[in-house]
Amino acid sequence: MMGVMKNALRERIRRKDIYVVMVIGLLIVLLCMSGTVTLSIDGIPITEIRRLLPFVLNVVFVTGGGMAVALSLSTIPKEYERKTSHLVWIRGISQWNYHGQLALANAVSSLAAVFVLYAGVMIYAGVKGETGVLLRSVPGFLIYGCGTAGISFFTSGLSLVLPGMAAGALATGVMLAGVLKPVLRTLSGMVSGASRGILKGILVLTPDLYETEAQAGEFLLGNPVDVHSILGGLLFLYLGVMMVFLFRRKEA
Amino acid sequence: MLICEHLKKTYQKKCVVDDLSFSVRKGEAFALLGSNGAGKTTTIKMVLNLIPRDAGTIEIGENVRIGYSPETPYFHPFLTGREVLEFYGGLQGISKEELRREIPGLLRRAGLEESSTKVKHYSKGMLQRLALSQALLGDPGLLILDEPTAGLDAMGRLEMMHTIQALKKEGKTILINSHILNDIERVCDRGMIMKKGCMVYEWEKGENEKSLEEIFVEQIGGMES
Repeated sequence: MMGVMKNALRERIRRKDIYVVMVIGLLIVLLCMSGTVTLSIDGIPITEIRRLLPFVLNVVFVTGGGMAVALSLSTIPKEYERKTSHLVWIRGISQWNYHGQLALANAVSSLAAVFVLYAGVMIYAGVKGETGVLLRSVPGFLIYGCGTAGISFFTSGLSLVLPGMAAGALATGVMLAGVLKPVLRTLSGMVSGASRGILKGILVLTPDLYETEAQAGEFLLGNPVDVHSILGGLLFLYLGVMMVFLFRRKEA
Repeated sequence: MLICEHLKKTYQKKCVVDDLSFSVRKGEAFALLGSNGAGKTTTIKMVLNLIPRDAGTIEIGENVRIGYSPETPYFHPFLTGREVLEFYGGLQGISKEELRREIPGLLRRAGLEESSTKVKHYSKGMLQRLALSQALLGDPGLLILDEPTAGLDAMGRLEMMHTIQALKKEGKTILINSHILNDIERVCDRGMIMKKGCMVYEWEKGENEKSLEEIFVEQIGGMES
């Protein structure tokens, strides 16, 4: 039943470039957390793990978002290019089922890649004696992962209707605008005229992935979470899934 | 077995198949011939329902299953031949038990019994034979072969033709799209030559004293086409 997904997944995990990004991401995370690189806000160094965690989770989220775009971009059109789709379609597999399985493989591989980085952070938290963080890490990943899965499905959906370059640029743009919402908000308050209008437009049109991911951080630290922000992430995921199921190709 | 009437397909205002009608009888091998761009592959895609047609009807015999072998087969390189057949058989809804019974025979027929070899190590000929094997999964009544000898060396072509002849003897109905007229003349009973989306000649084995090649050049116009 899920044969297409399983095969697609086996193909995705063979992509060496993702492992390179993953190793680089893991190195950055470990450098930040180990104190080799000291982070500071307003000149005050942050060394305490509970203050460091939200920042590192943000770094992991951006790296994971990039990997999700790379893993999901053009993978479905590639199946059409090499005409694998012919042999699937003639066996009575519907287009939405086919696209759904391929996009699911993209999302699962993206989540797996992010989980490797996330698990690194959690293990480090555990080593530092933050057992509460460690215990909440699995349910926390469900909140954390909905943004990454959303980016993956959104990219897969865009790939169905746009050329690779355009889909990649748009997906990366939406992802970056989503995780940089606070920066964009600050900027929109600083500029005026057309620039302000453009920034306001971007703020309205892009999902607040920063807030969704921030709620995962709050949950991990045992702080109260804002359900609306999590729902925002889920809504983006829903939009991505709908795009995959509704966008169709005229021919195999 | 297969009746196509008044098929029409237009791509961006260019008519690639125009009022095409033909039929394939049960147990015969029928050839689609023509130069590149004649509309052969588009016709096959319409028969397979891979693209919508603008007009016309396609009737396929009741409960007839179709097996299809593409011109340039691509299979996931990390799979073995057996795994490829298991994958496509699974998509087709064939039970694991049935596949366990069917696959060894198909691999033996294709000369691909070596179970541990991954597809990435397959030669062009092996890939074509594997493509034919996946088309034979579930014992289809109608086989559609798109350029089954494309890119094969002389020996590979010969082997493929023997296999197709054997399948015909077993009673399979075969629709072949090929450029290699000698092969067609050897295995096919009937066929049609297409030019610019239309049928220009209906060929039947032994009906004309001229060879298929001569007829083809006459109809298509030699170098002009």
